[in-house]
Amino acid sequence: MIFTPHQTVLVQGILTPLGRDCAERMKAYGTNVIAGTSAGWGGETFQEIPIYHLVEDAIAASSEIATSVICVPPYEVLDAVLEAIAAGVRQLIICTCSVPPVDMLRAIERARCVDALILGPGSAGVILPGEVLIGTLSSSCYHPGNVGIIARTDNLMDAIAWELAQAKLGQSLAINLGTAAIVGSGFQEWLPILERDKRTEAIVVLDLDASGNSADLLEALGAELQKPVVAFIAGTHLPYPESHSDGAFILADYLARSALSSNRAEAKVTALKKGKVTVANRPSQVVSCIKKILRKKGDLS
Amino acid sequence: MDLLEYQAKELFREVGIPVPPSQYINDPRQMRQLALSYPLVLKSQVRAVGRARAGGIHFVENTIDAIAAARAIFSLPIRGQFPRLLLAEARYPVQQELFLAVAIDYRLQRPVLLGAAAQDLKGKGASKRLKKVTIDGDFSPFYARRLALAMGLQKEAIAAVSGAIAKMYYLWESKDLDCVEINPLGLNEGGEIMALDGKITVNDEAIARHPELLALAEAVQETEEKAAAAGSLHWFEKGGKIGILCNSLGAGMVLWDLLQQHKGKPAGCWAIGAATGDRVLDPREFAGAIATGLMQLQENPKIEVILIDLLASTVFLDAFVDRLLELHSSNELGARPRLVARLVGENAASAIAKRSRNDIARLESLPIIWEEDLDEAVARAISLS
Repeated sequence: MIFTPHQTVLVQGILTPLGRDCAERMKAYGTNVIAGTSAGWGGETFQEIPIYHLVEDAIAASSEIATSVICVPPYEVLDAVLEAIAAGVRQLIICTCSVPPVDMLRAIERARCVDALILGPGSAGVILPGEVLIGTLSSSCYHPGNVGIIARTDNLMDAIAWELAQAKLGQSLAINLGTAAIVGSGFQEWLPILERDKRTEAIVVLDLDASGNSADLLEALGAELQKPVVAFIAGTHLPYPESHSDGAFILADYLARSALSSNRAEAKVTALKKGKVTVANRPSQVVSCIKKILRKKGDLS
Repeated sequence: MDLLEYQAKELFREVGIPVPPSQYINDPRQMRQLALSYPLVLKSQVRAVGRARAGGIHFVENTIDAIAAARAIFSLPIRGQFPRLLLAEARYPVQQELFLAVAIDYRLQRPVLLGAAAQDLKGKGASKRLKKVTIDGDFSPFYARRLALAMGLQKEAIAAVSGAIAKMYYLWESKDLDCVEINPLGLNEGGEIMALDGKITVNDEAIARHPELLALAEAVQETEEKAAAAGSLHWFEKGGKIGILCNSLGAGMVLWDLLQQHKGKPAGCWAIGAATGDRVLDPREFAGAIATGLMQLQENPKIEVILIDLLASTVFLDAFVDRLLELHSSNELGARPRLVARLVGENAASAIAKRSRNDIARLESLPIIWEEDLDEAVARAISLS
C-alpha cells in the first residue's frame, strides 16, 4: 500500500455512525477525503465532503481514488469491497468489524485476482504521523518519529503509541491490522513495508493471544530482517477453558477456531525469543527496549 | 455457536444427506408411543462434548428398557447441562465409520475438506492422519472425490461419500457456518451412507442473517442482548480479588498479565468497545457503559479492588468523570471495593488536569485513588487487595 500526504480517500458508507466518525477524524487531521458514498444521499454533503450514490459516480467526479475506507454495516462489507474493486480502487481499508468469515474469504479472493490490498476488517487504519490519517486511529496518541508499529490489536495500539509518546518516541508509520480471524493483509505484507521505509529505525509488533493463527507473525519475523524488532504479546496469562478432547471433534475445531491451546501466547513468545526479536512483557518495557535500540544506533542521546 | 445434534441432522435431511429415522422425546412416557422399531439408540441433546462417556447415550432393545434409559438421560446433567429433548433413533448396521468435516483453514484463508476413517483418529497424532483437501476458488464436486480417494475409499463408496461432502459444503457456504462435521458417517456393505452423528457450528457474526438458524438455536434473545450491550465480562476467575475495567480488550489483557506477573489476583475484566460492527459509542454511551461495568464488578463480593484504566479523548473521559460524580452523590460508589483509576487520553495528561478548581475539589472527594503510570496503578491495586 502506498500512503502519501495528499492522496485521495473515499469513505464508503460515510453516513453510518462509523463512517461519520471516521470522516470527521480524517478531515480534522487534514487527510484529503474527496468523496463519500451512501446510496440514496448522492448530491448531499457531509462536513463539506460530497456524497455519491455509487463508487463509480465518485470516481467519475474526481478522476482517481487511491484508497477507500469501508465503513458500511458488516453484512454489506463484501458488496462494498466488490463495488470498490469493480470501480478500479486498489487500496481498501475495512474499518467495520464482525464481518462474516465466508464473506471475507470471497473479498480476499477477489482482491487477489486484481492485486488489490485489503487492510482489515476491524482495522483502525493507518497513520503517518503529522501527515496523513486513514481510518479511525486516535491521532493525538501519535507523533512524528522513527518507530514503525504493526498491531493485530484493538485500540491497545493507541495505548502503546501513547506510552511511547510519553518517552518522546514518535512513529514513522503505524498500521492496525484488526483482530479478525481472517484479515486481508497481515504481518507478512506489512513488515517488509516497514523494512523498506527509510524513516523507520525500529519496529514494534503488537499481537493479542486471541487473534488468529500466530504462525504468520513467526514466519514474517523469521525472515532476514535488517531492522530491530520489539514484540509485545498481550494475553499470555489469560485463563483458558479446559480443552475438549472428544476424539475427532477436536480436529475440525483445530481448524475452525483460532485460540486453541496449541496457539497460546506463551508458545508465541518462546518462538519469538528464539529469533532475533526482543520480547517485551509489558508496555513500559516496549518503551525501554526501543529507547535502548535507538540509543545504540545513535538516534537518541 | 454449536447446534444440537438433532438440529444439525434436520439441516442434513434438508440438503439430502441420509440420517437415521428418528423421533424427538420430551418425556419418558412418550417412549410407549414410538413409531420406530427396536433396537434403538437414545441420545441426550446437550451441547457439551463427551456425551457418550458421561452416560448420555443408551442402546435399548425394548420399551421397558427404553423408558428407564430415557428417565436416566433426562435426570443426568452433562457438564452442567440438562437435556430438554432426547433423540430416539433406529440403529443402523455399519461396516465402516468415517469422519468428515468442512471448515475454514484460517492460515490458508481457504475452506478445507477433512476426512479420515474413524478408527484412524483414535490416539495421539490423529490430526496428522486426517486427510485434507483445500478449496481454491469455487467449489466443484471433484474436490470431494479427491478427498474420498485420499481417504482410501473404493467403488460405490466414492460416489456416496463425495456426494455427502458436496452437500456438506453447500450447507457450509449457504448458511455461513464455521464448521460442518459428520462423525461418524456410517458406511454399509452396499456402499450406502448414513450420518450417525453430526455437529454444526454457526458463525456468531453471520447468524443474524439466517433467521432459520436463529430459531433453531433459540438464541434470538441472547444475540440481541449481546448486540445491545456495549461491554461484557471476560475471563472470570473464582479466586480473584481484583476487577479490571477498561475500554479495550487488548488493554484488559495487558492489565491481566501485569497483575499475574506481580502475583496479583485478577477476578475478571469488564471491557467495553469490543467488536460492534459499524457502531460507535458517543461520550454519554461510553460513560454509561463503563458505569454499568463498574456496578457489575461492585456486585461481586469477592472483588476487593477495581482497577480502572481508560484511554480516550478528553470529552469521553469528562463524560465518565461526570458519571462518577453522579454515582458518588447518589451513594452508589461504596467504600468497598476500593477503586484505583488511571485515565489517559488525547490532548491532556489526564482529564482531571483540565477541570476547574471547584471540580477538582469534588474529584478529590471521590473514593478513588488516581494513578498516572500503568505499572504503578497495577502495583497499587495489588497492594490494596
